[in-house]
Amino acid sequence: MVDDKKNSLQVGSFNYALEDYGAYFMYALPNNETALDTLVNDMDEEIVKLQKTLISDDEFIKLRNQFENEFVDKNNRMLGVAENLADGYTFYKNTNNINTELDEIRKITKQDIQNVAKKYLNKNQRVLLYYLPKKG
Amino acid sequence: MKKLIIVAFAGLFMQQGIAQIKIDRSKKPKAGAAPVISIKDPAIFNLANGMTVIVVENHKLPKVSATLNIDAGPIKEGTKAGVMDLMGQMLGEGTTNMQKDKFDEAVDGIGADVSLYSSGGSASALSRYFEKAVMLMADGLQHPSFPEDAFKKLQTQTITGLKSSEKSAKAIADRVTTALMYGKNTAMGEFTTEESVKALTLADVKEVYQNYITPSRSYLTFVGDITPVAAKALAEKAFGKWAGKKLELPAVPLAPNPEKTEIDFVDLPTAVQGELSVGNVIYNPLSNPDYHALIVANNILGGGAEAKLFMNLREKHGFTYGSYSNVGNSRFQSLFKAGAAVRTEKVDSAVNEMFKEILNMRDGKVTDEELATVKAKYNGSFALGMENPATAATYASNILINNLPKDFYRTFLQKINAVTIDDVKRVSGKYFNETNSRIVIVGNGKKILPALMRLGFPIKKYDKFAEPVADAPQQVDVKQTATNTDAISAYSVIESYIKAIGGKAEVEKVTSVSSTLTMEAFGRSFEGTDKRMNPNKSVTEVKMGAMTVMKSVFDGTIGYQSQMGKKTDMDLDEVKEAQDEKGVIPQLFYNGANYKTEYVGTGKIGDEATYRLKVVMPSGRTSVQEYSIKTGLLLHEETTSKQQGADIPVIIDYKDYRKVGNIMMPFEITRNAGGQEIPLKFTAIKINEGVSDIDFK
Repeated sequence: MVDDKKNSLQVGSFNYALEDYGAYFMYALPNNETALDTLVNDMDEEIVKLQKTLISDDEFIKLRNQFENEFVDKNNRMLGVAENLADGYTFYKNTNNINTELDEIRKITKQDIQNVAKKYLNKNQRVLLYYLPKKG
Repeated sequence: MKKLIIVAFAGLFMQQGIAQIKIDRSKKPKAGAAPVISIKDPAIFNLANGMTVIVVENHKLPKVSATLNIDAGPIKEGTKAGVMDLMGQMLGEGTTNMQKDKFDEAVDGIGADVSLYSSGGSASALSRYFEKAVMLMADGLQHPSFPEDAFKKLQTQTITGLKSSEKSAKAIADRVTTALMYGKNTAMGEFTTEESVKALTLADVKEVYQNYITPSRSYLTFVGDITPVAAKALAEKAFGKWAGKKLELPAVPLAPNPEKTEIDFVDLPTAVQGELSVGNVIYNPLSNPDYHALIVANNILGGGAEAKLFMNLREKHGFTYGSYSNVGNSRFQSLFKAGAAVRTEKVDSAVNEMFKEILNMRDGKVTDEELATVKAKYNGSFALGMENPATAATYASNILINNLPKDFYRTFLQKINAVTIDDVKRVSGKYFNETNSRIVIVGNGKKILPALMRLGFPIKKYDKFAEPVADAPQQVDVKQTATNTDAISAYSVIESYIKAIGGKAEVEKVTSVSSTLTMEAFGRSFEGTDKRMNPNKSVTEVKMGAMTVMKSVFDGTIGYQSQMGKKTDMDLDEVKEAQDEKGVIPQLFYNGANYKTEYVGTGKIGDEATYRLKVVMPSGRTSVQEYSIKTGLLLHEETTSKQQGADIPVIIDYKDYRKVGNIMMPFEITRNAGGQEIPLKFTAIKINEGVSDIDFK
């Protein structure tokens, strides 16, 4: 949407995980006068792709590598280790989580990714928020 | 329900477990003994092409990083300023083996970080992908494709970036400070401008690439989960066949500090605050024996929120959000700089307070607590810094590049902890200048300058690019007389005087004047000497035979007059008037910020038509001077002189101009003070010889 279609300034998504209920966000900022519904359609297209087809091997390996790299970096400093221990204790009541988290991540398959896309990214379970400037 | 009970049980169990150890959570646990920091010596070896490889093994995590640092020293870019940065960015625009998007994908695919810049590059990755990451970095450095369209894109981006900081007082202050401290046309003082970037071509980029991206004088540092054997094999594979130009570390000419503390002012009418920095050039390489004491001293002065500058300028006076100081540690010269962004109306006060704190340091007014706080800070942060593998890499290559003893970092804290208040005083006196610093201020001139003049430092004006600015010609007040409607201004009168006596270049060379004279007064004949030295030192001695009748001395800050052996010190007003002159040829400074000048029409002295110039001196004293229209020379002056609190009118006539070296000097000066006329005739005048500081004691 940014590089090829050039209809957005920025597009992204992130998972907002909390102890109880979290949320998954997708967002896009339009480029020039692109209608916001165009952006929604484009994002929906990508979701559908994710639900209907498995991601490519290259993409899957890249994701795993990036997660692993990130995980290692988080344990580089004492502060990071302390935070991971605290997270393990708080969310899983298990400080040993720090030693098993990476294995959990490695167990995720391409099928798992498709499954959660099907389970959570549906049209009937979302809030669509248009954030508009004041009419001047 | 059953599940809930299990959870509850588990909770109970855990609580008991904790209770058994009996930890009292209301009390902070005691800190353990400070761990001993061990830094192992790295493995070091060389490749045939000049590359030095350093390996710091650390198998704690499955990650490795490699950093290549090409040690070219300061590079003078001249009219091509900015070309090195642009070349560094171009390295990331694809190689002859891989286009940019493929290259970026290859890096992303293995979750690695690879960056390339004008002095080398770095790569870090999980151990199993590390070789791939290093090979990508090596490809980027050795085979860049330098596509023309990418060059145009980056050139435009650079210009956009420069434009966005055009009006930033901070950016201007940093640029001008560095340019003035090191000299604008030196490797360390030069800076990138829109013009220099616009003029760059892809060929320029390729040229500096050929010259500076080379294995010669390069250091490849591996840190992490790798053995020296594996590192050596990888270094050979990635860089062994690389050949390039041989680098020599350039000789950098030494930058001098100003002879006398001066204010360098950049007018930025849009600035809402004044950017202020006080400092000087220092030489403080890591190998400096004063290094440890100096970094401790700097932290006491301006290292953070508990340091002197912050406590004074922010906490006590509220001039600024924060004030800090820095000392560099380059192998070449570096800077000591204390700075703050200050409320416009408080810039002059902030300069004063900053100097006060610098003087406190020089006088050793440092408490045990201040010293202990800084040491504690180093003890804590040094250990914390060691967590980062990059720190170990920097330490290892620093030792090599700077020729440091192998235990430099192992003994670092020991040396910091050994610093005493006496050491702090000694290094403060040596490195934090007082009488030869530069005060660089960027701000709204209209609001700041009048107050700055009161500080008594010479003020030099510069533009945003560190070029000296001449004051605009003063406006002519048309109401003064009917005859000044022509193009004459105060500015042009002063300029033509300087031209008439020898030209600006020659006049600027004059640092002292020494003369012998005779004087006819009270029916007797006297002999005397008169010596003057920049900026306003003077000594005049009048003798009758062998006996000194009168002597007056001013050394720039204090002075006295003795008559027939009776000595009277100059009072404050007299000192101020004596300081009105900023040089042996005072007119040289009339067009500067310290003087208010005004052209007040034409006049006549004897038969010669004159331009009349009104000058208001820094002390407030007014002088009306008449310059010959024909020759441009000064003929007549009417002013006042403070004597024991009263303003005595003084009329001076200048005659008999003759050439001394390349300068025209009046050989006859008649001074009429309060109705008493004293004619002086000079028998000899010498420029820049026979005068030294001791003459003014």
